[in-house]
Amino acid sequence: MKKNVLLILLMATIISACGEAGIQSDISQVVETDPVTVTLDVPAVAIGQLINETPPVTVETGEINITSDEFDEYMDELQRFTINKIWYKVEGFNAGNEADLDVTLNIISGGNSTELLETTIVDAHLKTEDVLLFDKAAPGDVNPAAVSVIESALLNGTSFKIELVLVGKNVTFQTASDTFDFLFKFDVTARVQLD
Amino acid sequence: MKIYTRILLIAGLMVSMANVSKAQFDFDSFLEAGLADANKLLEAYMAPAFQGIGYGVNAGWYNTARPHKTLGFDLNISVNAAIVPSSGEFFTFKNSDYSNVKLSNGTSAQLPTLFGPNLGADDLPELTFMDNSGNETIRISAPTGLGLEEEFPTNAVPSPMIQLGVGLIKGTDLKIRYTPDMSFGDEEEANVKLFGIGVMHDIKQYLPVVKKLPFDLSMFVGYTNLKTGFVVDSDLNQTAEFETKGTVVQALVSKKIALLTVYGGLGYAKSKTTFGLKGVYTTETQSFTDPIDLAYENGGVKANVGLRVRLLFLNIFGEYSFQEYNTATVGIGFSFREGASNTNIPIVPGI
Repeated sequence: MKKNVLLILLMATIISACGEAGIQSDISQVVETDPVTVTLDVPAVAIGQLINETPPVTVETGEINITSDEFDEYMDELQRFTINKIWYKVEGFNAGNEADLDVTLNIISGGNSTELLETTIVDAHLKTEDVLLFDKAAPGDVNPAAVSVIESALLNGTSFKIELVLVGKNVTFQTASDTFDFLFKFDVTARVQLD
Repeated sequence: MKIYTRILLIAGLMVSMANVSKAQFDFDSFLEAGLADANKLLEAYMAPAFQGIGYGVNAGWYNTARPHKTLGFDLNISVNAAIVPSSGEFFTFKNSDYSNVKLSNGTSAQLPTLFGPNLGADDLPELTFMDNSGNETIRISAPTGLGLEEEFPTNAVPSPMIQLGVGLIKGTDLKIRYTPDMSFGDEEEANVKLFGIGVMHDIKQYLPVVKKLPFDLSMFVGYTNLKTGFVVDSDLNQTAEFETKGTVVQALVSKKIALLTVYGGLGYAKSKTTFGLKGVYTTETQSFTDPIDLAYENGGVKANVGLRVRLLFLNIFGEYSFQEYNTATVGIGFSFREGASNTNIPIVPGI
């Protein structure tokens, strides 16, 4: 009993040594999402021909829940999430197929849709390496409200989806359709406050 | 990650019995970045704590240069506080010193040690951890200090001591520091063991002219060994072990004036502190056996001055040691049959 009292006193002293400020830390990680598959069709008569514009295609990612062991361990101490960067890349274009893509990205969370960005991806078939879509330091045309939606979803532990509305521009396909993947990567910082 | 909390807690328990607790970087990433980097970074971060206790164990051995009469004895309890110098509040992190841990921005930076200021995440440089292929695995704020200076009067590493001194023959005192192997916690998660031995010998008796002068003069040599163990995770058989060995050799001088004794010492002190994490630590990708093994050594001239107030059998004393980590000591104890000096006339007869 005496030893336990001593230990408790010791622990109390230790804990109090951290003071009221507690300890704060940022933990950042680049997290990849599952790919979203897109199929773009062209009329059979237009195979091998330049097409100015395809009909719009709308696809959604699955529920995105950016988690990692590092973040999960601090669920109770998380103060905020910050999206630092978002990248995309396109994989799986058939060889010989070429297209620009007009893309509208919407963030869907809690049943609400918020537009993140409208952009044109020139030579989408060549974008097989990460392309920076959003940089917190230079947000450009990205809607900050949509970024906030993502950050709130992360903090609340809820998932979100990305809706893509794509229109092919200057399309030249050697096949009637092409199925390719969009992949997104998020550079996320979690601020942890240990009291 | 939580393991790091435990490690800091353990370190705090062992280092100072007074501070430390929370975590600020991912111990798994820390290990996955490579044991060499992990040890190097932790060694620099923890240095003032371990250096401090090394200085602390060499203090508080005596409060007079006058040995007891034969079978006279004293029993003292003291606390030594090794004051962390301002240079110990930060360490220089250079990218070139590490393989898999780098600053996210820049090539070198001053990072707080455990005894540095408690900085917010916005004020801490960010460290990038990489795997062996050079791919980034995670980025984390550099570990912050605990900001003890903001909470306590001084930024110090305390080390409590209990010791017994016994008078032998010919002006010689044997001093013993000892605690049995004590365990703490319901499941004996922590244990502490202290042993120290010191000898103080009156050398004034051999000096023809000096022996008639009105002060006491002795030589002292002391050795202290403090061992601490802590269970990190009993299920995984993970433990932490900490050991400090300190040796001090000094010439002592003291002068008793009524109830007061002014004393001082000059000599050499050195210490070695080791800290190891034992057991198998498994991350997402690898297992590490006994991953952390740190060693700190210091040594140099030690000069100290002190003052003792004697009230019947009760001694209250305080001293200050001048060394890299200046050390303040306060203590209280009892003393019986303290030796008489042929040049010092005791004001309180029989003591």
